[in-house]
Amino acid sequence: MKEPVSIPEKDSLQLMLDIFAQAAKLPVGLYEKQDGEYVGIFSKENPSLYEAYCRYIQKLPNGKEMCDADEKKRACRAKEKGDEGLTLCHAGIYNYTAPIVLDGDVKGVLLYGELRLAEEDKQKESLERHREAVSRLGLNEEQAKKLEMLLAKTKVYSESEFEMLQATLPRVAEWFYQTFDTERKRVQNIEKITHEIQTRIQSILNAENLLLEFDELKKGALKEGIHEIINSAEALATVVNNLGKFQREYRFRKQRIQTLLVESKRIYGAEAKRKGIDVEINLSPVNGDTPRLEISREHLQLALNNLMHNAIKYSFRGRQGRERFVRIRGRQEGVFYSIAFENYGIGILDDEIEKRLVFEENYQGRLTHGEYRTGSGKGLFFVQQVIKRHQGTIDVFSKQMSQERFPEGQPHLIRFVVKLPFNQSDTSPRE
Amino acid sequence: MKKIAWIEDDTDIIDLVVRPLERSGYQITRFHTIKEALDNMESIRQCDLVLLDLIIPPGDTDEKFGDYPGIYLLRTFRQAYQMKQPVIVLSVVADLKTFDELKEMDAVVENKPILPSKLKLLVDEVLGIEE
Repeated sequence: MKEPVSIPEKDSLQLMLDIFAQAAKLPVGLYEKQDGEYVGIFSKENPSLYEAYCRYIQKLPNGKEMCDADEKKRACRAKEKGDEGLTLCHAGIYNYTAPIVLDGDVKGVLLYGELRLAEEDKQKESLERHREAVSRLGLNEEQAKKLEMLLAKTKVYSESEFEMLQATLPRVAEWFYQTFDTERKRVQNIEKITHEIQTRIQSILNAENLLLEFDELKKGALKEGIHEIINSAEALATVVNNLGKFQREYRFRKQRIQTLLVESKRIYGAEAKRKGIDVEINLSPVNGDTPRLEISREHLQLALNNLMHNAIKYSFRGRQGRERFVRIRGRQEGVFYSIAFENYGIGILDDEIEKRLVFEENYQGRLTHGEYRTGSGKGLFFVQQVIKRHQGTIDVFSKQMSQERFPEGQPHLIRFVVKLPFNQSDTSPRE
Repeated sequence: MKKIAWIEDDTDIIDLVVRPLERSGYQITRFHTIKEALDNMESIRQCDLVLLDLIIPPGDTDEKFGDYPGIYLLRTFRQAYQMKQPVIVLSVVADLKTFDELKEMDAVVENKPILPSKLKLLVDEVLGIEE
């Protein structure tokens, strides 16, 4: 049997429904659509809440099936329309039907009430629907009489009384779903981070091969192997640093930016080589000399490592023989030096760029989410913080390539542009 | 010579984990995406063993394969292709439900990271090869 949401979530929702049912003295059901089918959970059976009229119908042959089908139909309609409002059941009883919407996605539909409304026109509608039900259920005279009597005993609210309840439960349910969503994202995030860390640890453990083959290895191969361990450990350090607050003090000193970029290239060089990616660094000189900026080296190194790694990791694979590159270009722009990281890769959507979502903590690009689930959602957030602290800016551009040029898929040309001031005193703090 | 199909997207980073296997004569074919694996099912079927990661990109396809695309692939092996050869899932398995599902499909589950020598021992053991 299908279960609505996961078990701990189901327990929480059950508790929410029970509390509401007891407080409002009204029964309540919650439907979720799963694999095209509606499944529901309901406030616990309590004779004082569920109307005798409804219980009687449900005990009749086909009665329960008719009630279930009708509730599902109304839940489905509310989900499609996305509107809250009063709905009349197949037997003439009113419910309030409210879709629970989170980020534009309908998570479930609440149905609660089981009552008649006091207004004359509503009473009339109820009675008409009741008579149709009597006929559909094929009741004899005695059963019909009994049912009509039970309908008359069903509790009556005025529309205004009912309105007071309307706002409560859907908002509480939204909060529950929001909480589940946050928890789900948190768990997914831990999983992604674990995957990133374990992949890096794996590459370090692979150094066991150096021991296994020690007697056969030449000096050069040993040296290369040791370099690979160090690079893997540095790549791991970059991932770990993204996770926590990097508490080291910012110490600004004039540095050659080229040195930091070469360092990043070294760390991810083996990975890039195995992927067949060329990493080119081309920085235009400033006054005939290699550019020197006032930076906090440790912080900026980690930020550049992140940008380098992203460019390599999300690089478009393409068909065999397809040119793969990460191009880093730099040039002076007034009191700033601008560094652009370019590659063909998985695109970033317009709204993600406009709202700068890709720089938010725990955010994973919508296109990369389907393609690679292992981004930690921490790297670019960290990068932005470091760049801001340097009174610089970071922006991203994404342009889809034509099918003519890339028949095997349409990668985007991705460009991250970092602008850093030459001197920290040159500029006022920037957004 | 025993053949292994290795379905893993991070071979660029962790390729050396299979080096002891290759050095002892195993022939390893690498597949980086679900699509690549699905397009090469006949070749995978010829392998003696499959090494499978659970979190792999779909590749050039719009199809969705769920949170753990590797499970989709394993199901396809077992159900659609009736493949009976041993499968070692080399991955991070976070929840019990996923673990149970893998066991039901007769997979050997091993967590990453693993020492290359241990992976070789595990493969030998699963294939019944004595040292």
